[in-house]
Amino acid sequence: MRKQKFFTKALAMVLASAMILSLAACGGKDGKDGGNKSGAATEAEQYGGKEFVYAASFMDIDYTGYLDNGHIKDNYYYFLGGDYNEATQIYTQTLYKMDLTAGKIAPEEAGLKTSAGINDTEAWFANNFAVLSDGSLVVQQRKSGNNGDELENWLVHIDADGNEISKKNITEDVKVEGVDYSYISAMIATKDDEIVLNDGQNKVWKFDKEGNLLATADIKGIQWVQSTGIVSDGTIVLTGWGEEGGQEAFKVNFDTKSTEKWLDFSGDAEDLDIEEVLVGKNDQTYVRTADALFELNTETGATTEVLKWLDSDIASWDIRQVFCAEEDEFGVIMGDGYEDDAQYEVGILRKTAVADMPVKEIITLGTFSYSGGGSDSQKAIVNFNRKSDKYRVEVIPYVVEEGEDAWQKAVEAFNNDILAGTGPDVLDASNLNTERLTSKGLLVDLNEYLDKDPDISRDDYFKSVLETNTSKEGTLYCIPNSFTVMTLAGWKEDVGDKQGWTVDEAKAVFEKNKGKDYMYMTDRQSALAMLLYTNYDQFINWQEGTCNFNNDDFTNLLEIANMFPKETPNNDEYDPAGGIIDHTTLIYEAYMSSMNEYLLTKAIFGDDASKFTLIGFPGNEGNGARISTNGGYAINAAAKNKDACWEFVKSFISPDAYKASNTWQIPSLRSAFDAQLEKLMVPETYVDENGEEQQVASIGYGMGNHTFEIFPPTQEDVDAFMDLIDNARGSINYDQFIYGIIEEEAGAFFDGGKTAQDAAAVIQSRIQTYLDEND
Amino acid sequence: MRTTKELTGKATKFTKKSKRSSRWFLTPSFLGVFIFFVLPFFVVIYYSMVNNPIAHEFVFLDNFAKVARNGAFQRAVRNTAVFSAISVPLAVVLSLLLAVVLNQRLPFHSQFRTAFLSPMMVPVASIVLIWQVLFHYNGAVNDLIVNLGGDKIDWLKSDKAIFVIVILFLWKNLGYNMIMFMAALGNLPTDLIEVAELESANKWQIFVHIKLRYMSSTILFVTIMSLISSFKVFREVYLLTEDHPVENIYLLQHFMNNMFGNLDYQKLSSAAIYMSLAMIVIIGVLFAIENHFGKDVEE
Repeated sequence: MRKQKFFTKALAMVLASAMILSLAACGGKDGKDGGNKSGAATEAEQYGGKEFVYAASFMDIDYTGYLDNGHIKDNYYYFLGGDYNEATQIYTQTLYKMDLTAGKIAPEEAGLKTSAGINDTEAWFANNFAVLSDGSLVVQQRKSGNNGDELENWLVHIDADGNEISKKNITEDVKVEGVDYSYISAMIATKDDEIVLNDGQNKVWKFDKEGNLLATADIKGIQWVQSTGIVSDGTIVLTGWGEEGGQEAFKVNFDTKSTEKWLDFSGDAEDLDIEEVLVGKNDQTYVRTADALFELNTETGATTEVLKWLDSDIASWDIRQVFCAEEDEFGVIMGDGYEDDAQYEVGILRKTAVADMPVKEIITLGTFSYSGGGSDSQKAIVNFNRKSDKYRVEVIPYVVEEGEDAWQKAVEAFNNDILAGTGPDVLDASNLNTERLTSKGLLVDLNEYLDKDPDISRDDYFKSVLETNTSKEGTLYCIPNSFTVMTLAGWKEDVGDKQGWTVDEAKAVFEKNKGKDYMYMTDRQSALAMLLYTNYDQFINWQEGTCNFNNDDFTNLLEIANMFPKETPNNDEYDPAGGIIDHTTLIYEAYMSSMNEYLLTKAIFGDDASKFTLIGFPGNEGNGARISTNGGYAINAAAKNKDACWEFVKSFISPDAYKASNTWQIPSLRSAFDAQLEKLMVPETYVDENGEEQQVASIGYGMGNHTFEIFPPTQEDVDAFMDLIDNARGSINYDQFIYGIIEEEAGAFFDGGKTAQDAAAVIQSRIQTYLDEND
Repeated sequence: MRTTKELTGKATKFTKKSKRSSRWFLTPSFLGVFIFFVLPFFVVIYYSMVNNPIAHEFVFLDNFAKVARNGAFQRAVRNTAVFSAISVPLAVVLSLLLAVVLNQRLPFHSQFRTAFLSPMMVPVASIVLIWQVLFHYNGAVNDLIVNLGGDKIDWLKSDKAIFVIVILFLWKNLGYNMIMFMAALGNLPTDLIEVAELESANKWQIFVHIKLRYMSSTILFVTIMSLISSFKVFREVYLLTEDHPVENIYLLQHFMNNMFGNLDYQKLSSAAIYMSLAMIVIIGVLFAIENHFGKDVEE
């Protein structure tokens, strides 16, 4: 009996303990499974398990220069090319056509040529054009007189040989009340050779080919027209962002003189931005988005995905035009930039069974965007897939729905997948808490790959960039493609002439300059964020897991932030330079993601390096400048083929990748930056009306009422910028928990409820607990 | 007429059959408890003995050693122990006192009873809102203190925070405990009390030697429930102060909740096992005390 009682009690205790254990972690976090499972897919799981894909073959276009604004007619692609001659200062436009069925695709002139010189009092500029059924063209031209004023709109009809048939001034026909000049944003030709124009937000006009106005309609319901198209039944369709938010599609009704709701898109393309509407060979209707091509049911609005651009090794950022070549065949005109050295190609996409595609080992790439990331990321994926015989990168997008919680759900789904061992092989590092994942051993240390790679080495990259992406345990988890240098700048008479200042020195300068605007549009919380973001590693010893916020430096930082205004006024115009120029603003916050932005900072301070100092963020060491890195890829510790993953990661940061890139951001690879600088330092000149040689500005920046022309850097400028970069410290990873605690407690100080010392004491207590947890 | 042997035999067969069929009826409940309570318990033990969920390397007691050395865990254990040591005895003693007082059939005793029970019905979020209004730095309590000539106290972000939480805990749980004690007081054997009164025992002697003895199982139950509730106070503390409160109200469940958020399932599991072992010991001790004091009552 007593034994039975004992066992009964023991069992009761075990069950009670089991119930108590269920209390563990019962508050706060709700880990939802986003459902995006991945892992190195098998051969059968290529292309996401699809049965068919559109395999692409590519042909280069033998053309360099500007290419945009094209139309397809029969087997020809027509486009407007442009060229600016620096010596003569004349801009020439040429209308080209290319035979897409030719063995070698090269444009030939289609008859129209305009030119405008900088000193011409009258200039013609072709904005848009349409190709008619007989091969003739109607061109919408802008005529400017009297040095750029007196703008007029014209329609010019030319035959297939380029001879002008008619010309009509339509300026009054396309006038919109309250608008000085109507810029025509889109132009198409109907099957009946009628010309339809719209200005993007106000009106649609229909003309005959001679330029006689036939009808008008008001644009209603759309804030801005993104695409204009004609579907197979002749309906003219406008798509764009609706007045009530969300993607909308309207049709133009010239009888009612207004646009009307056409369809609500549903299915695969619902809520996506429509960039183009096109008609297939058998009168199907297709819509193009940034990620994919969809077939549209024009009765119901249902959309069905036809192909994904990345599956066909096409970077959607490069697409200029899509056309339907044949049944189950599409063509894509692509260009990798808009500069004179842009490369163009045509891709022909044919429907192919996945079983007939070459079998490659899949590397999955997890990103927080639909289309694989920005232009450079897409290019890296596409180039890798085209070149590699063994591997193929497939993108797993984690943000799969709209809404406020979409991002949080994506992050939770991503974390769950990593822990379950089903996460992607390669991870887009731009939105990861890499410190946390690294401390759990979930990311591969790239040091060993960098050190043993035969093609690239550690010394090729900026040391501070590698430091920024190295965890406190010494794990290099990512090598980003580019980076930004951040610092503060001020007039020498205000901040002194040495780079770098301590918190005490900064506080003294701010106190001395009470009454000035300290920094443009910066309130207390922004100032605190700015000071801490670059500094709170001074107060935290990550190795020992201790913090020290109970000191004068931190309380001084709080007091400096408290000197800033509680709120800043709303400014319609963005003008951080104005206050610096007239000496009413003390500090300029310089974010320099390129050499030109360093030169902009210098230009704001009167283009004289002897008059201003890049003082940096207050801190105990260095020049106060910080490195912030952009993007990059990390490798999952659970990836099956880490070597293959490294091959992809490397392709994003290799010398070849930078050669193919059009970005002017500061590359992490030193030699790529040197090549960039070499190009940038070449001056361009022209001869003015007085016969004197003048330098051409590389780029111009506008801030409020100020315009800054940036000229090629001198060697002195380059040396100063390189010195800044080499002595900058890497930024630490922004820990949102730590900053959240500081922000919350600082708020009580800013509201006057506590002293800085009391706030610092609470911050110390809470952050120490946080650090102890992560020890 | 059937013999006793025949009747007993039939009864035995019937008992055996009904025991077998009752086991079948118990199986779904048992399966549910097994799947949702017992099995996760063993999964937790497994997680506490591997290095991480990807490598699954068995590290035996390394995680336990790491957690035991962790400063945040030590702080959480200390705070939880202090909080429970203060609030549980107070909850038991005060509710017993209230039950005894309300059992006297004073005027408006049922209204008082309702008033003490009503905090149980108020949603947690509303309770937290009220507490924030009262104990905020610029709240009602500080206003009163300032009006009386004192200085403001940062109730929720200083070493005074523990008092706020204790008051919150007592306010919420006294009513339920009081009802349990009132039920126990109502079930006391009146004949024994009458005999004691006839034997010239005073009220205190009757209370200690008879009433408390007979209520020992209820006291044990109330103590265990108060102990469990003292862990559940994390909910209110979390809503008041979020993930990382000031040091002295950083409880064991904060530690475990944050470990879950950090994906550190090893530390979480180890801490949970430490906690369950501590609970087993505490409840075992309570059972032993109850056995000692209440055994003659049961017999």
